[in-house]
Amino acid sequence: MADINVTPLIDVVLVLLVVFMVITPMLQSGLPVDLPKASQTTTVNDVGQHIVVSVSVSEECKTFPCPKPAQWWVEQERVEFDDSGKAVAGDLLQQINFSFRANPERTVLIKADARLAYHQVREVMDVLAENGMTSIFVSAAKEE
Amino acid sequence: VGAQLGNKGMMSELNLTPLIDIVLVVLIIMMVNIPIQIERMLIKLPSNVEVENREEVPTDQLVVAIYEKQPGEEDNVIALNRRRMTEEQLFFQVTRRLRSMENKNVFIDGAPAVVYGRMVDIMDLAREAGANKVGLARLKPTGPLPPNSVEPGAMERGMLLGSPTVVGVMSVETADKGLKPALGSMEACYFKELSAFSDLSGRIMLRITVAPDGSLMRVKVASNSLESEKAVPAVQEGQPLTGGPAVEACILSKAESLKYEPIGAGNTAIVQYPILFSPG
Repeated sequence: MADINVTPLIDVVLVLLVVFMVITPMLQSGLPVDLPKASQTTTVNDVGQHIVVSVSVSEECKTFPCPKPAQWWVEQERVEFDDSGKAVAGDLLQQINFSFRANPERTVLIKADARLAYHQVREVMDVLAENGMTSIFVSAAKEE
Repeated sequence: VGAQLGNKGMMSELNLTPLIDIVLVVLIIMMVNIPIQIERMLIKLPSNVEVENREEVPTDQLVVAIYEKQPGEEDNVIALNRRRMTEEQLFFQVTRRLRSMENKNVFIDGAPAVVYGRMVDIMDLAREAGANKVGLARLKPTGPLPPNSVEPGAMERGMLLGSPTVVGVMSVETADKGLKPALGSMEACYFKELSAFSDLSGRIMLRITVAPDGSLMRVKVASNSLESEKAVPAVQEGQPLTGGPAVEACILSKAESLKYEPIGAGNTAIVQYPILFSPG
């Protein structure tokens, strides 16, 4: 009796699975950071309605809060930084404005690393607030 | 008949190709559609216009201050309107004071060196206590004004119901009205256990899913932080519950008889009640 040859099928499915596993973490908006945990969050589907500003810790840091300046990102683009490694507020604004122009309906979502000091995150928020963005979202990981 | 002709090759083989085609197409469609979800929390930032620098917090405002962690301290000191208190007391006080307020706003004032994760914890606590809007106060390089009192906020003996949070089609008033008939018997649940565990305190989050006709679809305790210094015996099968778990079970049984106003066909609502218990 002739058996069905399932080898090519399994090949294709496995390749798809691997591709899928590799791509999924990349699909989230912004940078993958160690988000703070919160229980009272609202869950929304991410359909590009946010301008995601990520604030991440410097990779060299082993103790927290980290004394090194934080890195700022708008979507996947790192915000320009000066000689001391500090992000330039003007460039952050420029990048946000650029995103706004593409879609004025978007709101700002801040994805900040839980291990940062409050003032490091606040610095980003202050740049936003000074320019009229006083209602913003912060991203958190769901805590059950 | 053909299948019975024997095993000499007359058996017809199932053609799997269309099936595989369809399965693969479905797989690809599902991959494209994976909803990437984001957990978010709305916060308000001070705008440039309102520059306030007050020594005293107006009585109708709630300002939670988080101070820098000093060496030797286990956790950041927190204060509500400059009164120092523990996190549990903070939750109690914020819950109690928000209930009578029309604009349920809470402002959070953190010291620059506080870890951001801790800030989000407190924002989360404020929301859990029933705040509609959480605002961040202007950042001062020296941190928030120091607490002017070290006595912890007083709590009354008994049970206190906080502002319910509603997801779905139901007003907060209806949610409050729905739970009202059971409040007395729920407090009795607590007092019963309080006689055995005199310092039993904490909070229970009661989550009720309401069906279109106002009946209950699901009653659940989302969290229970009731604790006593006196060790509560571990839950054993066949033994009656004691302490926190007993209050939880008792409250669930009292909640089951509740009936809400009908909320209309096709609608459901999930109501979450923070219920606080304090031995005073």
